[in-house]
Amino acid sequence: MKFILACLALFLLLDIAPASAESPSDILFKSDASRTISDMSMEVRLTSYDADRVSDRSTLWGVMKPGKDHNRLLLSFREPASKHGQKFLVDGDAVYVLFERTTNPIRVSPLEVLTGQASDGDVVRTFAADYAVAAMDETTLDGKPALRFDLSADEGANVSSYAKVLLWIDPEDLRLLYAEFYAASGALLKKAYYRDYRSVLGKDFPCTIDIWAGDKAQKHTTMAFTKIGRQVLPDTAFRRTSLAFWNPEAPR
Amino acid sequence: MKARALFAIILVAAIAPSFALDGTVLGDFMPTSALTAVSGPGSPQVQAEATRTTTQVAVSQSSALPGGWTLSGTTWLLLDSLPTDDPTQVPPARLDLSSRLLQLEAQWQILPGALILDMGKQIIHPSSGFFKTPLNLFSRGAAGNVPQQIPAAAPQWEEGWWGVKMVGILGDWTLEDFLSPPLTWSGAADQALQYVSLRQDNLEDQLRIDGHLGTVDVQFLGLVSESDPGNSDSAVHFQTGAGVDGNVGDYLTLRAEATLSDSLDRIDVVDAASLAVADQTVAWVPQALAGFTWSIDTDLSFMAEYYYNGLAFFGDDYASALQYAQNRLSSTSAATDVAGQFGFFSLARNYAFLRLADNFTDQITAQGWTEINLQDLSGMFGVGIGAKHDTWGLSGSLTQTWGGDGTEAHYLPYLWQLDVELQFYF
Repeated sequence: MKFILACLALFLLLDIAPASAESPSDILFKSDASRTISDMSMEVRLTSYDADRVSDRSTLWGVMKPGKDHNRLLLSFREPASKHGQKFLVDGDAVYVLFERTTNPIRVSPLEVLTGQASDGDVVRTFAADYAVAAMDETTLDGKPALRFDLSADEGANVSSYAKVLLWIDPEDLRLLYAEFYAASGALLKKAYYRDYRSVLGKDFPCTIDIWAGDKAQKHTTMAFTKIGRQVLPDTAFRRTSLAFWNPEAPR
Repeated sequence: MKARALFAIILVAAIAPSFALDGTVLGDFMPTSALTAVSGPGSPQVQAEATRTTTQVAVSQSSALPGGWTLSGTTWLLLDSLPTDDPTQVPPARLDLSSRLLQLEAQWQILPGALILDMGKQIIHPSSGFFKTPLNLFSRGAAGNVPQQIPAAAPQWEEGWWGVKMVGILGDWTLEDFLSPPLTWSGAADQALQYVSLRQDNLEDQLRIDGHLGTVDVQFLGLVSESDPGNSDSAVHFQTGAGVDGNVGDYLTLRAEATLSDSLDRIDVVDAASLAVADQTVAWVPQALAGFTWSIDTDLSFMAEYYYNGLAFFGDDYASALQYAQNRLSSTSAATDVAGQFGFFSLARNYAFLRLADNFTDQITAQGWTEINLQDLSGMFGVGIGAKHDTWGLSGSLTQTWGGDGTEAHYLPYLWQLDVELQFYF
């Protein structure tokens, strides 16, 4: 009987606390992988709010390709009409914008915003490859258990838009719940809530991300993934010169 | 004619969305103050105000077809009350009509993402410069020569070149060659063609190599022309250039480019007193641009660019050209405009451009800018504010010159210009 109880206890320990057997970096990597859809095509609706007032609305089509070092992302505005046809390429630290009726993509800062509080990199963001885990501790978020990761920009990474990031991850299913993004000065730039998790193409995907400005408490932007599909584009489609030849398509 | 053109604009804007066409209607009202001789050359100068009114319409369509083909095109129409760009020279037909097929391309992805054939009328704009674009080895500038609210070299609408481009992409490198044949016709016999396209007087072949090296992008260009746009001879001319841009951290974007042309033409001053000039050919002309954009935060940015034009004037030649400009202005002579041969406010070799821009809200932006002649420290400055909504936008700007006696800005006929712009998107 003691043996059975010991085996049961061991089984329970292994089952309910898988995180404790892994390093923080491994957990972070698994969390990233659990929601990253390879060759994902998407339709994203961005709605910006100033308090309760809708201040801006946009719809974008995009394609994301995971890479060894970082994700590459193509985005194109469908709405509003004043931005229709504007395209973006996010390739690591490099962000390019191709304005409508032009042929030469212009390099811009990674901080360039799409609308409201959402920047290009927020559309599909992973952390394990770009940030080093400085600390991980057990805490709570809204009264529920959570793992809090303290991340710092990895000097060897190609992408690190923020000097410091704090993440709250559900220890049960490794869902990313909440994140805070800080500048090198220590200022809180933005915070994001990851919600509406659904099973999409075999992944546990947050279909809504709510991004709040760090210094303007009344302003936030909701990013809703309204369509998700798969579109396999060659690696060379994610090049600066290829942006002019990319034909955005609705997700299938 | 005016009524028909306005009706056509309204009709196009109304039906275009039904055919999935994208378009923009842009109206500009530009009150301008200038020093001018109101009763002809030689008469005393007075300050005169006039308002130039332009309405531009551009309609685009792009369709992906089976087999890796894409067809796209953009057509543009302009109604211009003062196409001469001179507030005192109001043409008899106050609304002058012009139109162009800016771009019409058939792209074929022969090997998707690796080998692309692009045929038709294409906009060739490899430069990353904002204020000036030295790497645009052949360029047509803004369609219709319509003034812009900010002296950006990248115009709102630009006319392309007929030709064939082959693009090969391998890894981080792209190799492309654009061949543009001469296309000429009689302006008198084929008047209708002026509403479709500008002529192409020269054969142009441009080779471009573009690559991503670590955290920077580099490009190298070579252009062979049967005769470059500044020359009237039929000799073969060569231009080459290189550019680089990259990020330093998240806040700083840097860019630099330089070109060298085997020869370019300019108008030299022979005698400033008698307003005598002569055409000259300058051998081995360098041009360059270097600049940065500092994203102070997500809403506020500062841009600075330096431009060097080896074809323009320096030293004694610059002093002589300034004297010529002064004599020409004070005599209100119809003599050749030496100062304007490289564009507006571009007589000297060295210029700087500074711009501070801020997004007050998601819709409202404001900017202030200045362009400085580094040889005499005169310049222009402007401020502007704009609001952009989903289907319309409204913006306004004020541009003014500054500089004392003996400076380029002092001899510009323009004193100030307001520009109120209304845009509709469909």
